[in-house]
Amino acid sequence: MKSRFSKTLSFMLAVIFCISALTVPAYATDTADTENKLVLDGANARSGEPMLIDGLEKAGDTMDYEMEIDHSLYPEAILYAFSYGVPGNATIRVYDENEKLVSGIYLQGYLNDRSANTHFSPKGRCGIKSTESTIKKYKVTVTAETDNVIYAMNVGTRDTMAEHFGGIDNTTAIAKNIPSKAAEGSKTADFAGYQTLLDGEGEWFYYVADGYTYITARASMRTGLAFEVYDAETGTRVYQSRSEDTGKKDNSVSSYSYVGYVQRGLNLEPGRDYFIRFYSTLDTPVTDSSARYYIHIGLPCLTTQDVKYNAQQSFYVPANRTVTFTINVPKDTFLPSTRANAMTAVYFSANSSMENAYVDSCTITTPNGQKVTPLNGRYSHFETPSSINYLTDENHVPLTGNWKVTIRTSKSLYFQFALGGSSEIILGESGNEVTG
Amino acid sequence: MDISIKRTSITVTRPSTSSGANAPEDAVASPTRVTYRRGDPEFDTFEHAYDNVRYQFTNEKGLPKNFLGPGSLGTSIPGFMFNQELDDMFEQYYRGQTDVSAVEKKMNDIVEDLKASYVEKGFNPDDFMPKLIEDVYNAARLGNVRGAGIGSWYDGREVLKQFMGPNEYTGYYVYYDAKYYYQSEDMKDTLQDIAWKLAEQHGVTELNLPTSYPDKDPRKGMYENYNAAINDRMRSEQHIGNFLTEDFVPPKDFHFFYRMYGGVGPKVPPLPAPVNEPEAEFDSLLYVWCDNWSFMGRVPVRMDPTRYPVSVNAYELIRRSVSNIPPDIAAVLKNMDFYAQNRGQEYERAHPRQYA
Repeated sequence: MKSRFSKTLSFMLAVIFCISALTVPAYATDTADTENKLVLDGANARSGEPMLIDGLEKAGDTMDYEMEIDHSLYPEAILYAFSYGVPGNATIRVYDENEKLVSGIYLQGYLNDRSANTHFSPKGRCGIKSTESTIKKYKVTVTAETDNVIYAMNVGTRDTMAEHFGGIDNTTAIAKNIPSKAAEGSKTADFAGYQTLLDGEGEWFYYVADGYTYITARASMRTGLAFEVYDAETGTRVYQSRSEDTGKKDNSVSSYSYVGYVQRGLNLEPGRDYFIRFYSTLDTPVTDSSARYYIHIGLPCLTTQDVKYNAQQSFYVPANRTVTFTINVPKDTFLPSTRANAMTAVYFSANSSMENAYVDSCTITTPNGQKVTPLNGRYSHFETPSSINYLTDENHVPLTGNWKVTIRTSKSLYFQFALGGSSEIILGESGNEVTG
Repeated sequence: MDISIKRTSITVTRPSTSSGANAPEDAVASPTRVTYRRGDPEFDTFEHAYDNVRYQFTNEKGLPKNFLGPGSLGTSIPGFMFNQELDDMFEQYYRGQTDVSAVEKKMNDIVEDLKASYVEKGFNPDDFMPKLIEDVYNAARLGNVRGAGIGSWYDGREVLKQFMGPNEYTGYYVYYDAKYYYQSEDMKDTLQDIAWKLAEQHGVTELNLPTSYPDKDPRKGMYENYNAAINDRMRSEQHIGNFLTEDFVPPKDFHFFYRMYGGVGPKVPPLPAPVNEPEAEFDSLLYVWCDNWSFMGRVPVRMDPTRYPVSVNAYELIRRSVSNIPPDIAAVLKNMDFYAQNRGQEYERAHPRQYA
C-alpha cells in the first residue's frame, strides 16, 4: 500500500525537480565569490546578491551556518526565513559563541496532528541583539522536521523587512490550510502575515492547487485587503479580487470592533502552480510593523458566532395528543451562511425539568429535513459542518427556516422554542456582506 | 563585511552501506547519520545542491514569461501592477466614468512603458513586441469582462436596496443586465482592433489574439463572457442558481434580479403565495423585465430534500401564471434554474457546469 507519506514525498520531489529545471539565469548565484555571505544591502535575488536557499532531504538532517554580525553597526540584526518552492517543517536556531541559544524560527508548512493547532508559519523572523559594539560570531542550525524541506534565508534589519521578507523575491511556499487532526472540526488553519508587507509589491505565496480553492485574508479593524492570482507556469494573471469580495464582519461581542476581509473561492486547476499576491488598496501605509493579518488558502475561513433566538409565542400541548408545530425562524435572524455546529442547541422546553418529564415523545425536524430527538427539552448534538462543501452540503443544518416539532405529553403544558449556543459562519461569501 | 553567513557543515541521514559479510540477507540496514564539514569533498555537493532552485519568472532569453506578470519590470513599476491600472480603467468604463478612448490610451501607455523598459535593458524589440502586445491584450480581455461584472454588481446593489432597504444584509442575490453583455461583447472586438493598431505602430505583423480561454483555465468560468461572470457568482460562489448553458444571447433589454429567501420582505409587494405551506416564508424573489414585459414572483426553492424537488426552472415557474412570455425571453428563462443553497451540492453534481 502506498502511504499518504510516500505519495507526499513523491509529489515534493517532483516539485523540487520542476523548480530545479526552471532556473532563471539572472538569479543564478556565484557562491565561489561570495562564499554564501549575505550582506545587508541588497541581499535578495533581484539585486543580484544571493539569497541563501538550501534544502534538507530527510527529517532530522541539519545544516549549520556561521554568521558574523558587526554589532557596532547593527545592534540588532534580523534573520528572515521562509519555505521556498516546497512547504515543509524546520527549526532554525541561533546560538552565540558560548553555544547558548539566543534566537530561533519555526518554519511550519504542515501542522502536527498531535496538537490542536490551526496556525501555520511558513515564514518567520528572529532578532539577534547585542549591546556590545563588537563583531560576534553565531552558529545557525537548521533542522528538518519533515522530509524535503527547502528554505530561504535573508539577513537584514527591521527596516529592511519589505526587501528581505516581502515582494516577489521572497515568495513563500504555502500548503493548503488543513487543520491538524486534533483540531479537526473546529476551524481551518491560517497563517499570520505582517500588514506592512501588504504595501508596495505586497506579500507573495507559491501554492499548488488541488481544485476549488478559497482564498481569504482578514485583519482586525482594517479594510483595503486584496489579492490576485497568477498562473506560475505562464505568468498570466487569472484572478484579481473585486469590491464584492470584500466586507466587514462586526464583532459579536463589541459593536465597535470588526474584522475586515477579502475572500473568494476559485476553480483553480488541480496540480497546477499559482502565485498568490496579497496587497493593500489603502493609500496610507501601515506603520505598525507588528500588525498582523491572517491568510487562509485552500479551505474557507469559518468563524463562530453566538446564536440567540426565542420564538415569540408559546406552544400549547394538550395531554395525550400528538401535535405538530411549525416554527419559522425568520431569514434575517442570522447571517445567510449560518450553519449549526456541535455547540448549537435547539430547545423545545416546558418551564422546568419536572414538566419536561411529562413528554412521552418529541421529534424536531430541522429546516433541511433532519430529525433529532431532544432530551429534557434540549438537543445539542449537531455535527460541526465540514469546511469542504460548507454551504452546499445538505447535511449542514441551516438555522433560518422552518423547524417542525412533533410532540406528545401525558400532561397539558406550554412549551417554548429557542435556539442558543453558537454556530458557524463562513467569513466572506457575498451573503454576509453589509450594504452601504 | 557587516553581516555574513556561510555554511559550515551538514548532517544527513544515510542508509547503512555495509552490514557485514555474515549478515543475513533479510537484515534491515539501519540508517546512520554523517556530518560533512567545509573541506570535505562531499560538502560541495550539498553546498551547491540548491543553487539553481528558483522560481522561474522569465524565459530562456531573460524576458518575462508575461509582461504583466511577476518578474516583469516597467520603467517605474513592476509589470504586474499594470493589471491594476487596466482593471481600474475598465471599472470606470463600465460605471460610465470614462469612454473607449481611455481604453486605447491605457493599452498604448502600457505597451510604450514596457517597451522602453526592455529596450533600455538591451533587448531587441523584434524579440518581444508581439508577445508584449498579446500580453496587454489578454490582460485587457480579462479586465473587460471583470469590469462588466463589477458595473453590473453596483447596479444590482441599487436594485437590492429598492426591495430590501439600505441597511439590510445583502444576502445572496444576483443581478443580470443584458446591457453589460452587449457592451462587453462589443469591447472584445474593440480590444482586437486596438491590439492590431498597436501592432501596426510597432511594426508587428503577426499576433495571436484568442477570444476564448482553454477549458481548464480558471479564467474560463469567470471571464469568458458576461454570462459566465454572472453564473460564476450565482452558481460557483453563492450556490443559488445556474445557467444551464453560458453561450446564450439575451434579448437586448433583458434584466433579472433574484434574491435567495427574498420573496417576502418589507419592500416586496404582496405576491401570490401557496396556502398552508410554511416553507413559502422562505421563497426567493425573482424579478424579470425586458422592454414592456415583466414578471415578479416567488420562487419556491426548498431546503428539505426529503419532501421537495431540488430546483425550480424559471420558465416552468413563470409560465404557470403568465401566458404571454415572448419567445426570446422564454429561451433565456428556460436556461435558468434556482435552488436552495444547502442543496447546491445535490443540484450541481447532477448538472455539471456548461461553459460557453
